[in-house]
Amino acid sequence: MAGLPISVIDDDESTRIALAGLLRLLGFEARTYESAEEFLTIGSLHPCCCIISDVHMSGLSGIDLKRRLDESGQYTPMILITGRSEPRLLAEATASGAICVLRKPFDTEALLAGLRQANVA
Amino acid sequence: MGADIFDLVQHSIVLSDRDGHVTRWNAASEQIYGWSQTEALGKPVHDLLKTRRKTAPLIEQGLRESGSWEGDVERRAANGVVKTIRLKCVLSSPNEIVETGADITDKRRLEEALSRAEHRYYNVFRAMAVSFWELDFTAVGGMVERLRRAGETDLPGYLAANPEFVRELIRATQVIDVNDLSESMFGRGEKEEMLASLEPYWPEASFPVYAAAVVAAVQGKPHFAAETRLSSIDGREYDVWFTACFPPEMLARGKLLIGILDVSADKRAKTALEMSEERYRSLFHFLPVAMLQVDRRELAEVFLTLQKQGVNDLQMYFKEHPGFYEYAANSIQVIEVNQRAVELFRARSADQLMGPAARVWSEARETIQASMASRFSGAARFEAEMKIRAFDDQTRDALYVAHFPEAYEREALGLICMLDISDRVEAQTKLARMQAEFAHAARVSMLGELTASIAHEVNQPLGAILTSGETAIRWLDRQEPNLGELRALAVRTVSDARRAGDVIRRIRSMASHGEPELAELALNDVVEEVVMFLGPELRRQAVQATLDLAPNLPLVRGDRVQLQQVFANLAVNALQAMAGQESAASSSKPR
Repeated sequence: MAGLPISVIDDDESTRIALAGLLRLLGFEARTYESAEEFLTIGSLHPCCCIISDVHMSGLSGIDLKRRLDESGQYTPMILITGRSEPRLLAEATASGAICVLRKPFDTEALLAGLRQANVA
Repeated sequence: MGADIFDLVQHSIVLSDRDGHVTRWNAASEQIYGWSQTEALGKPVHDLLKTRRKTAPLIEQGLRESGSWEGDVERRAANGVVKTIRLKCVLSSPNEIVETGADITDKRRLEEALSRAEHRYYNVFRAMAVSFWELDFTAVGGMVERLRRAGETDLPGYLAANPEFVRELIRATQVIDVNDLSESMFGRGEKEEMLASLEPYWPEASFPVYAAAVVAAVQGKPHFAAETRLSSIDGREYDVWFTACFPPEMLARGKLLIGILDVSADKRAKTALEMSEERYRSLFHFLPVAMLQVDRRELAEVFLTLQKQGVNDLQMYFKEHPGFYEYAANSIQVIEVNQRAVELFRARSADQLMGPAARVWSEARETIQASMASRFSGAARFEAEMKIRAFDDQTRDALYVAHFPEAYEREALGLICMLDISDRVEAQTKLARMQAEFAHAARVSMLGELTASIAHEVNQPLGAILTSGETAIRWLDRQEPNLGELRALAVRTVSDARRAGDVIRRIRSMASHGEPELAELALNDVVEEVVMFLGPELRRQAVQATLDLAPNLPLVRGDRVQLQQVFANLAVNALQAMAGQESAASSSKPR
């Protein structure tokens, strides 16, 4: 298990807390951010092994964030999660280069599978 | 056969056999009838000259009974001109008829014109009373004389150039006496009042007529007459026929008798008729609307008969009597059409449209039935949209207006106006289709949008609940569950479940228009939510929404969802209004 923390970015507080709780239970260290912008400013000081980000947020979306990171040469594995289900949006998220796109509500097993793909679990 | 005595007479002389075949034809016959002797020889004379059909048997009867006939006949010359011939026919031997003819066409025309004119003249004088005035124009004579002495030789020219001088002449003309009719026409009850200057009766526009009368008198003409306009003392104007007689004995005393004939009523009636006729003509032919005049005499009679038989619902009658419509439509005759009608029907000429109206209405049986039924029940007007088949075989849409003017009712004429509305109908159809498509698209898109955002709002807490639940299970699987952690998870789960429940409740109230939930709301928040909610739709239509929100608005008490619906509707209306435009601004400002 890698020593670096996992970053959780979601503007929904409940989701943030629940995910962080789950990750800690699973033995990871988790840092939470309310927005992509917060992650880009504060998060850049704290290297992480994986990013779990919501797609739809006020401000930058998870997809925008992935693009920004790619552009600056940071290829930290990213798992996108979303409560939306429009095919166009899902296709866009999948095409962004994220390891996987999980639709809320998702099983813990699905999340673990994603983390394994990211080589962190 | 050389020229002989026949050719020296001015009368036409024609010899024929007993059956009327020409055997001789003199030079005057060639002159009068235009046929040469060669052309005429051997032809039946009455056929050749188209002697009026009724006259020929009379001539034959005269010859048979008394050996001769005399009278005026109408014949047609070679060039088609109708001529009146004073004819004398004599059976000169058992097998020879001699006819002499004189061309009296011009004389006859003159006589007719004369008798018409006399008739009219007589009518005018019998039917209309004349207003007589006796005038003293001693002063006028003096003024004109002074002018002559001053060296003015061109009196007409001087008068034309100096209307003020004419005014002075009129003012100087004194009324000595008037008859009763003059009093009632020009006065206001008191004859004495009228025995003064002529000025009040002579408007400036009529000055030239006065001047012309003076000139006529000075030049020694026995009388003068002209049509002019005079005024009563209180300003009523009349069109009059003005006559002045200058008998030498009266003139010597400086007296003058004038007669004034009121032609106003007659003139006005005539003018009104002419004007209305002319107006109708120009309306009919130059209105940018296709117009057809129809003769429905036959149908009008049939309608009367049906009404006598107790029929009162023509539509029902049509239903019960198949074939009646065809008969009715064919009985109506188109008798006049204007240029627009020719164009509307893509006809080669007006003639193509004349005749039974059934051809013109081939595509509009129901409209025409309704039109007939409406006329049957006494309506003077009927209007409907209909289809017509033009002569190029294309179908067009037209607005059909049938009008049965009262003035035409006696003659059972009707006017039909038609307006080509093909373009309009096509445009309307296209517009309706576009609107339907747009509305559908908007509905679909709104529905999709709504579903997606419902899903998102519900999935958010559901996701949290699932994660919290699974985390709790994993804690419980441990040998020493952290009770504090489990409690926190349970609390969050309950709270998330409530949140999901709230979403569902809101949606349900939106769908079922449930009781509004009143709360203190910041309007700006509501507006922002709506714009966010409509974001994808705005982007899809490349529309930019700019919010111009007043800061520090007081909170209002209202139902958030209902207010959201209101703002969303406003925004969607604005979107639809801007659809298809390159650039447009639509603003909604709450007051």
